[in-house]
Amino acid sequence: MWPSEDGGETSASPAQSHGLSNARNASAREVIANLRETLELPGNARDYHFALQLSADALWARRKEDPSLVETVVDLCLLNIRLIEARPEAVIDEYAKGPISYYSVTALSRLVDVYRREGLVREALAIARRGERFDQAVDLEELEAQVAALDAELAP
Amino acid sequence: MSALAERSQTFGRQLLAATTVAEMIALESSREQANTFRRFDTTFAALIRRSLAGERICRAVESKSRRPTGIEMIGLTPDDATFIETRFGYDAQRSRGAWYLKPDARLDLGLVNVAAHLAAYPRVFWSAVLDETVKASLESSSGAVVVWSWLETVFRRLAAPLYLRGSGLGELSREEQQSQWVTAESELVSFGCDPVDALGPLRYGAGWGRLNVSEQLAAKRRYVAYLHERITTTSVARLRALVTKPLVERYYEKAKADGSVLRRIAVTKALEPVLSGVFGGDWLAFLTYVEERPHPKEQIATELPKPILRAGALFSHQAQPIQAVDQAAPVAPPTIADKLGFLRRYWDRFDQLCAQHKHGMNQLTGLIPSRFLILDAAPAGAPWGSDAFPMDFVDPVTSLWGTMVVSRWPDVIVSEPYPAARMVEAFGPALELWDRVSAACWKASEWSEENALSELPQRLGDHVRQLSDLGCPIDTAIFDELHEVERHLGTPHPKTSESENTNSIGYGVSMTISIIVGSWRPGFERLRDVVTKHRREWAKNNLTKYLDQRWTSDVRAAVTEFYRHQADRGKAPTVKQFIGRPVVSRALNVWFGGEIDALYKLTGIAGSQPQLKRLLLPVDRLAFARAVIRRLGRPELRYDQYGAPIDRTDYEKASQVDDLGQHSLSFVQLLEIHGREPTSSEFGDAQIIRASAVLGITPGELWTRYVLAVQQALAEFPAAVRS
Repeated sequence: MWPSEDGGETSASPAQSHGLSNARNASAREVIANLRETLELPGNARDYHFALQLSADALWARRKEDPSLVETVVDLCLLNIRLIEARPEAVIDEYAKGPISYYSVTALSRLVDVYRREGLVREALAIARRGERFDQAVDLEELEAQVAALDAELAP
Repeated sequence: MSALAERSQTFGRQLLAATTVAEMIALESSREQANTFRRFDTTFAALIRRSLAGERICRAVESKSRRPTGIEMIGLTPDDATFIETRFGYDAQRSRGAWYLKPDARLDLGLVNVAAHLAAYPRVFWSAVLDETVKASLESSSGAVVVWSWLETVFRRLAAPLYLRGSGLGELSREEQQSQWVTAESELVSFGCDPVDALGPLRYGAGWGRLNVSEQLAAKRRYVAYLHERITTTSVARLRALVTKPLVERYYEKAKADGSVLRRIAVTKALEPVLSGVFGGDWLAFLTYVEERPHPKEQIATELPKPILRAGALFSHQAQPIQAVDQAAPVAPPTIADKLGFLRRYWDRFDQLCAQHKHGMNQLTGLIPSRFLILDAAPAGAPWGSDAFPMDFVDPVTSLWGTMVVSRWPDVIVSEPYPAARMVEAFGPALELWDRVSAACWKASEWSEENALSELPQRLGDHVRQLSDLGCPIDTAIFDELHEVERHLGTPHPKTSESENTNSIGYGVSMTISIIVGSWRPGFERLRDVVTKHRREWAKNNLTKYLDQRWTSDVRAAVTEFYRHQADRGKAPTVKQFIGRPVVSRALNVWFGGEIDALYKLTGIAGSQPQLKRLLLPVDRLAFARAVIRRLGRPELRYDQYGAPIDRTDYEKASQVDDLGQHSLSFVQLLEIHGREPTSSEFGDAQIIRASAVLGITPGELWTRYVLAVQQALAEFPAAVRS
């Protein structure tokens, strides 16, 4: 538990509480500033994972206004993947019954999507493979076929 | 071919015989035809060169608008700007007979600015290219026409290798890639380039997969720089020839022995941009270029007849003189006047409800009915989901907007499943604008939502412009006034859920849980009063004119579409072609209940379409759908304290049954169209298969039950009107 502003206690960490109430309407600058502040505040891996994920989603939605935001989204997704690889509990569904179950990590699918758009099929495949341990190997077989086709260009 | 034989052939036939683009241009340069395009080649050589140097050469004027945007060409010299306006302006093209031009088109601006994206966003440049697509208004901007008809096709060719090394790698099979590489290389040759030299490592089979990301990026930059160095007036002429070749081929494929062919036969949809891009939309200019004569039956309309609305034609007393309706003094025929009368009553009620809304009440919902039945929430006798519009108020809507025609079946008038949504469509943008302004005030105050009011001018930009276009503008000072009042709203008060839960946890201890669901700021009534003042002022000055503009502009748009088709194709559209156009079906169903002859009579269009009226759907659509749902055996749902359904399986079953209930209106419409029950595939197999899987029965069994449920529900209610 964390101390709350009114002197009581709350289960929400300062990092979790700092999220934008209406990210949909916030500007890209506000989203990025809020993320920076959130990552400075005390919290747990899950708080940081969702802060990264929500910020990347909000920036992706604004990419037509400023295409450079796609570069920022790529960086946030890579950071988020490194985070969950180091702290997988951030995306484990603790209420699921039975074997370990993971939340959907949009950083994986988003990054695969961007890399494919850019023709970076090898990089997309590498991300899909990193998603395997979270049961989210996005389009793995399709990407393997595309990389194989690329390699086959050189075949006689 | 001997020089004598060559001279006896038309220039078009010589072009057709040419085996390469270089040969076509060589032929052209030895003839008069070269002069025709001197200005064209110079203007576009400069423009394409600037683009390949990394300059942005065009941009959407209103990138955030939902309306089609104008396209601004950037950095044109005054002479080039004049040339483009004269040659590519929408009206100029239509005055030369290009009546195939639609008012708007989706454009890939990113392709035209490809080098600018590569320079600005190297890591993600192809994403930037793909994302820069807009719905552009050809009607209002020559820039949009120039991109649609010429630049997009040029840059699609030039950027083909970048696509094949970008998203094409994931989108195309290996065989498709190989085939497209062959085309791309042959077009580079046509363009005057050596593919090996131009493409370097980009080339298929040249080891692309071994390069790292920065090497790949360098190869793409090198290719663009290579193209940039080679853009000259000659290379533009080659591109022009490459683009024109399919039109020349199609012309001679369809030409009669004397070499003539009607434009509508030669120019397919795919070739329309070529005629507009290279020949300014001018069929005679193309014929002059290929040295052929116009077909004896060719007619080129340079303008459309002005639509005249003959209001008297629809008055029930035939003695009444036919009255032409002009812009200044429209007189609605009775069928339309009745609708306008209801819209006024509806507006008064809407205005009253908004003006009386205050803190402590629920948010106003159901004021604007949607194309969807509110199955759960609507109280009995309030089909729009709000007590404010009881059944007796709503009833006339079904008789006014309760019928329609489906464009594929013009010979039968059927029930409109959602008459209230048609009524909203008739009212148009003013209704949504004032509703959204009121809702934003509620959110700013009662939900403490930041930006709710500050973003209004941007969010309602399209509505404001549409009202202005109709000559009924709102006073935009309202946005500043609301912003000012918002600054002085009270401090936020926490808002808790209505009921706090107190539970005993044993040993005489109880725990109270209250959920904070946000905050509110006192002062909604001050915002409301600002809106009421402006809304009433607007209505006093504009409502009558606005409603008249609504029906007359819709009807004029429909009749203009008739004349446009006639001018483009040289003959009147068939009934299905005519009413298949969205502007026509809209006018027909919003103002004439689907009666095609009523539209013909009012507009003076010659023709007659006998229509059978077959109306089986009950007046109370909601009660009917609920009856179908009941007969399908929807499970009763129970919810936990947080409002979540306790049994997930039952919830999914109930959702499928609700869906079938909603679609029972379409079922009855099909029954009316065909005069028999529809088959499962006419209704939509996919929905039946999906629902049967959830309900745990076979699709056949579900279909039998569904048909029976609809039949029984129909027997339970009187139909709106008997056929």
